[in-house]
Order: sequence, then structure tokens, then C-alpha cells
Amino acid sequence: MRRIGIDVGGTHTDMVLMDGEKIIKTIKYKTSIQVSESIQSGIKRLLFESQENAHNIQAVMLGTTHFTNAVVEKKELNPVAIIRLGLPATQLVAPLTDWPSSIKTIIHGGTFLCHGGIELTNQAISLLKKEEIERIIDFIQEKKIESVAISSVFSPLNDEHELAVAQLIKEKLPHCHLSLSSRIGRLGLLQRENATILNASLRVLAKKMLDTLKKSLQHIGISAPLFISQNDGTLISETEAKFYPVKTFASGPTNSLRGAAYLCQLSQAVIADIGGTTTDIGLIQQGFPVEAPLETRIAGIRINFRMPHLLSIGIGGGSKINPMTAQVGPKSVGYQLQKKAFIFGGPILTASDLAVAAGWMNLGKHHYIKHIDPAFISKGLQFIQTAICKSIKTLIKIDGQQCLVLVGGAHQLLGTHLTGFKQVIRPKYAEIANAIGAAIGQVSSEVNKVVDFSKTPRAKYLKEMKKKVIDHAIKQGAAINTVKIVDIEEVPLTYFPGNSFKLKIKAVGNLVAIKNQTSLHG
Amino acid sequence: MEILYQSDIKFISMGAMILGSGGGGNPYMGQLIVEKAIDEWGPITVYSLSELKETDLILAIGVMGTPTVFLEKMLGGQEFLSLIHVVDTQFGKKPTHLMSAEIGGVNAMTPLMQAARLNLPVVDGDLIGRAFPEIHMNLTSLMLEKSSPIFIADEKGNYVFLHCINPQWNEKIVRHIALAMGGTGLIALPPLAPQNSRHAIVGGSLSLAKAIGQAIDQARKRKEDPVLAGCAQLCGELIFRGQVTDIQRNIVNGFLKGCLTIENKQDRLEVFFQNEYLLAIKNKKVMSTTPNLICIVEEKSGEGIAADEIRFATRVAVYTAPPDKRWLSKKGLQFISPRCFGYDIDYKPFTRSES
Repeated sequence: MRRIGIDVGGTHTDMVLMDGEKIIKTIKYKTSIQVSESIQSGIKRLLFESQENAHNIQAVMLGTTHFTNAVVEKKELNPVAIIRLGLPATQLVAPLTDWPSSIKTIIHGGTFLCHGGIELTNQAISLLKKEEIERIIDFIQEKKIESVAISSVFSPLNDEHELAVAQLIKEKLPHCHLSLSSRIGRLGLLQRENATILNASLRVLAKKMLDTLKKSLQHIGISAPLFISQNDGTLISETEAKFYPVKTFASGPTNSLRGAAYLCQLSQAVIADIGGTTTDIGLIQQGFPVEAPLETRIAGIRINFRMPHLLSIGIGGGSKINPMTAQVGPKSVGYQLQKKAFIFGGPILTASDLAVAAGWMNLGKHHYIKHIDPAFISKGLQFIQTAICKSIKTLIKIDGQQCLVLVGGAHQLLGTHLTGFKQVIRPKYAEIANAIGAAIGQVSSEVNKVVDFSKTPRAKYLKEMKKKVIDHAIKQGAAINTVKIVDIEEVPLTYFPGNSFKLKIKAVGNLVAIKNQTSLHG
Repeated sequence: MEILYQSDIKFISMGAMILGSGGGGNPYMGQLIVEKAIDEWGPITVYSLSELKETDLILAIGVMGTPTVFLEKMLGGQEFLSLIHVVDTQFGKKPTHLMSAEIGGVNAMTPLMQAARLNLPVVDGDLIGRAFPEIHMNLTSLMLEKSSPIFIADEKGNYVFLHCINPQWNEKIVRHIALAMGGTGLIALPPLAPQNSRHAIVGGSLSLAKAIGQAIDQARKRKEDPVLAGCAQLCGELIFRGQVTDIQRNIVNGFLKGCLTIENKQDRLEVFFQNEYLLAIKNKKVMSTTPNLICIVEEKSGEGIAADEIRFATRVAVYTAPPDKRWLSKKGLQFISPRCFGYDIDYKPFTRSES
């Protein structure tokens, strides 16, 4: 399948044209503010340089930090009316508790605690009160709020109440964006509600950005479906991404990890993605990024999304070097490398300058750095090596069994003579590993249930659920013979009678190009 | 007398997590509730046991039930009002002080959640000195004649007054009521008059929780070892450092039972748990048993990790500390020795290593 993988980073955009497993062409250029135009011109260039016709492209996969950045920078977020169904429970912790106040003020569009919600036993905590919802609808109309977040107690197990409230709102306000927590988060009300509110605050931006992008692609002759990478490295349709922008938050780092593993054909590795300002370190085990063990946050807000376990340290190609101590970073010239680094005739000594001086990197003009004392160069590069290895050690024991893969625009900052590793690899195409990660994205589907195995026979139930998950993956676009169950998680429920478990089954498969993309959610 | 401000709460939460010895529920949700309550209702007054008058009446409270449910429903507020009301009608007197029934885990926070709103001060203390899985495992069962009545209330306004013939029956029956209420309920143990009950209370445990949290925080700020800082506050002993290599968890009779394995280059530590960590065995040698505290903390942050949250490959340190002395009496050990939990091992007294 001929496809284009795109990674839009803060500084650079990477693109790759692949046909099946073959990499045909890659490009890397500076991201401009107008994302859609930037992508459009990038694709035009990619197609031109590879002499490829737009009509032959069967899929476009995009990994972007656009929505993460919107939250972190607090730009282009829309106000949200927040509805929580669970009275009389939950009152001691209001929605938006523990949110930084700066972002709270931007997205606050009214908070409403209502009756409703389900008990773990599947009975209602209290019945929905229509008049409560009607009053909220009047408020939303009056204040012209465009987006609503609806979170109900135990909705991942029973979404009835969320659906009923969504229906009531849709009848009166058909253009209002609705985000339901049961579609977005897992068990744990606050974190699920937080993720739902964040999602709701990104809906206007997501629609604008993705609609514009889709038009730009059509404009240059690409009629292929557009997929977006989500947090776990699998793909969602652009329609689904418009409804669930929050699912794309960790896609950048995930793509970099998966792209790196793919380039080396390894199912187990330590990955260091060395960029302009930071180095992100992660682990691949059994072909997938190892997940962060504890709770995840974005912009200080707790969400319990499965995100890759990443360590970020302030060392990158643009990191400033202390001329006395040879300390590297954390300050960086970032995207101004071509103006400020020695190798480009600039006044600031950066990590890239040292790598060029050592002959590890080919960039700029060598004569600008030939005067630097070799002992100093050694010291600086040693600093980089020590810092990165120290970080790796906090993730995994280094005992000669691990392979280290170096990717990213500045992956040459680390030499390949590192002791302690079985192998240090700088694969070809290392600098656009992210885009490759996007291009090899798979399709996934998941089922989350609470089940009491003392009442339901385990083997039969698991068999049924596995089939359900596989069928759903195929509906999402997975090729039938590539779908595999990748994860079965059974978490026992403390203090509950019988033999109750939280069951999660996940299936993943390779994407088959689909001609007609139907929306999966209304 | 002490005043607790918003900034104190995170330290209590950290300390409570460690005193939870692997169980007790994650105090973070409790921390959010208390911080919000202080925001709305003002700071909390705490009294030490010695400051109480003979006419005071202490109500020891805690949340009981499935942590999963607590993370979805939290608390409504009505639970506290119901308990105070039922104590008032049954005893002809309102409680004058709230106290934690169990300092380990989320219940260190429970009395702090509504204290300011209800205008009730909190007593610096609890009934266990750590966390244990069953409600009869508290010092009042050991030291006091009466273990009944107890009370349980939910957010909907239901409350139950329970009278049982012994503490074990309290546990059996009230747990079913909590399940019927939806999975969690707020419990109150028999109200305590200071002159009759000082000997059944672990005084100073709330301050201890705060001190542990502050010590860990200070150590991190000073780039010193937060593991040792926490351990020192408990006068404990470090017994292992390594990485989690295996976790086996199962539900047995509604409790999270299992074993986890932690390894380093030379040795292997197995920690057995039933909600709380109860047994630590290194290379087949028993290092520590219940009722000693067994604390598993994250190596880097020094913060406690619970048995239901600990994950594969986490780098941890393990330390053990002596429990409140009263648990070591013959009667105490009958409640919470390893044999009470089904392990064929006797209690191993806490000792400092020679090395």
C-alpha cells in the first residue's frame, strides 16, 4: 500500500513515502504556523521529489502534537459546559479540582452536578432529572457555549445516562459539540472527567484543523483517507479524531518509539530520540512502547491515559555548552540553530558544534569549529553520554543485553562506542523515525468490562469478548488476517464478592485502505 | 493544639501512603477533598490526646469498601451528617471530636474532609497506627470491652446502626452492608470517651504522617535519599532495593491477595500481601512479618506504592518498622499475626541488622 506518514513537530515536520515496507522518499522541513498549508506544500514537494502521482496514494497518516500543544500553551481552547451525573455522590470533589487556574479560567463554561450515575452493581445511583438537564440547555443557549462534557459515575460500564443526556441536548441544540466520558476515559471519575473536559475544549479547534487539512489534501489531488495517530500508536479516522482530539495527545513520542523499533526490526530495545532541545528516552517491549506506570498528566492535569513511559532530558542538537565546564544544556537555541550555532557562523557553542568537531555529524562549516580544544570536545560529548545513560538506567537495568537505538534529528550526538549495551544502532532514516511510526500505525479496538467469574464461566466469556474485539478491529479497517489479540488485562476488584475482575482485551491489526470512510460516531 | 492548612495536606497524604503498608487506599483523592474543604471552610484544628477533656466524645471514622468504587463516587457529604445524627440520637450527645479510625491510606484524610464544615476539631491519632484489611483489626477490639455499636452511612441518606456480639461479627456484617450501599460506606466505630479509651488510641499518628511526608519532601529538595528519610521517621530498617520482576494478584473472599517479587543483582525478595503487605522473605529467609510495617517505596521519589498499584519493572526500596507495641501483646498477635492471614509462619520481632 502506498502511503504517506507525517509527523508535525513543534520545530520540524517529517514526511515519508512508503510502499508496503519499502521507504521510497523522506523529507524534513521547518513547521510553519499554518499547519494545513505547511502539510500541503510538504506533500507536494514529497510527491514531486519521488515523481509520484497524488492519485496513487492510498492513505495518509498524521501524527501531531497540535492538540497537546493547544492545551500546554492554552491557545485555541473553547469554553466547555461541564455536566457530571452522580448526585448525591461525588459532591466532595468538584469538577476542575486540581486544575491550574490559568487553564481553568479559559475553559470554564459552567459546572453542573446532576442526578444520575450508575452503581457498580448496575443500578442507578439516582434517576436522571429531565428538568436539571433542561435548565442546563437554557444556560448553554444563553451563554452560547459550543461544547459540552458529560461524565457519569461508572459510565465505562454502563453509558445509558450519558447517552440519554446527550440525546436531550442534541434535540434542542443539534450543533453543540458533545463529549461523553464513556468514549474517552477509563475507570476513575476525576481523571476520566478531566480528559473529557479537555476533549470538549479542543472540539472547535479539531474540527477547524482537520476539515481544513482534509480540504488541502483534496486540493492537491489526494482522495485517500486521512488517519491520525493516537496515544498507543494505532490509527483513528480523521472523523474520529475530530470527535476525540484528546486521543492524539501522546502520539508523537509513541510514533518515535515505534518508528525506531521498526527501522531496526527489534521487538525489544531502548530508544533515545535526540531532538533540537530534548532527548526523549523510552522502551519497546514485545513490539510496543512500555507504558508509564503511574498516573499521566498533561499541563498539570491528571488524566489516566495510557501513555508511553518516557523520560525527557534537556539535551539536544541545539543545547548550549558552558564554555568553562563543558556542561550541555538544558538551555537550547532550539529552532534557531542555523542562526546561532558556531557551525553556521553564529556566536553560540552548541552540542551540534561538538558533534561536528568530532566527525560524528555532518552539518554547517567545519572551519568554524576546528579551533576548539579536542579535550574540551571530549568532555562535552562525555557529558551528553553520561547524562543520557544515567536516564536510561532509571528505566531499565543495563547489563549488556539491551540494544540502544538512536533516532531524531540530532541522533549523532551519541557515539556508537557506548559500553554496557549489546548494540548501539543508528538506523538509516533515523532522523524521520516519527513519520515512519505514523506510517506503520495499526488499527486497534478494545473492550473494557467488569465481570464476575463466579457467575460467568471464564473461558467462554473470554472467547466471546475476544471475538467481539476482533470483529470491531476489522470494522475499523484492519485486514482480517493481521488482527491479533495484543493485550488481555484482568485486574481483580478488591473487596468485591465472587471473583470479580476488570477485564480489558485489546486487538490490533494492519490497516487495509478503505475507500469509503464512514463516521464511527454520530 | 495545631492548625492544619492546605499546604500541610500533601505531606499527610504522603505519610499516610507509607503507613498504609501497601493498603488503605490511595490517599490522593482524600487529599483533594481535604484541600478543597479547607479552601471552602477554612483550616482544621487538631488536638493531641492529652489535650482532651473527660467530657469529650471522639468519633473514629473511616471509609470502607471497594477502592474502585471510591474512585468513581468519592463521597457525597451526607454520610458525615448521618453518622453524627445517629450518634446524637443513640448516645444523647453529639461527638465533640473526629478522629481517623485508620491512619494508613486514605482514612488519614477522612476526618479532615468535613471537620471544618461541621465545626469539629480532629484528634491527632487513630486506632491502628497503620492499615489492616478488616475493620475489627483495631486497638479498640483488643483493649475495650465493647466493640459495638458501629455505624455505617452512604451518600443517599441510608444509615445503619449495627450491634454485634464480637468485633469479627461487626466485620462480617458491615462489609455486606457496604456492598449493598454500592460498594463503599462511611463507618464510625463506637464513640470514645477519653478516660475509658486513651489506652486504645495511637496518639500522634496524624503528626507522624505529616512528619514522614515532610521528611521525604525535604530530602528530595536537598538531593538526599528520600527512602532513608521516610524510613528514619518510622525508626525503621531498610531491607531491600531492587526492581519488581513479578506480581501475582487474586481476589480471595473479596480481598486482594498475592505475592510480588523484587530482585537486584544478588538477591530476591518476596512480599506477600492481602490488601496490605504482610510478609517479606529474602532468599527464603523471613525478614519481616505483620504486624510490623512493610513499606514499599519508589526508589527515586521515596513515595509509597500500594499493592493494588505496584507495577512490573518499577525500581523500589523496601523498609520495615515496628508497629504500635500493643499489637505485640499475646491478644494483639491473636488478631494480626501471620497465622491469622493463613501464612504458616510466626511473628518475627523487629530487629536492627548487625551490619
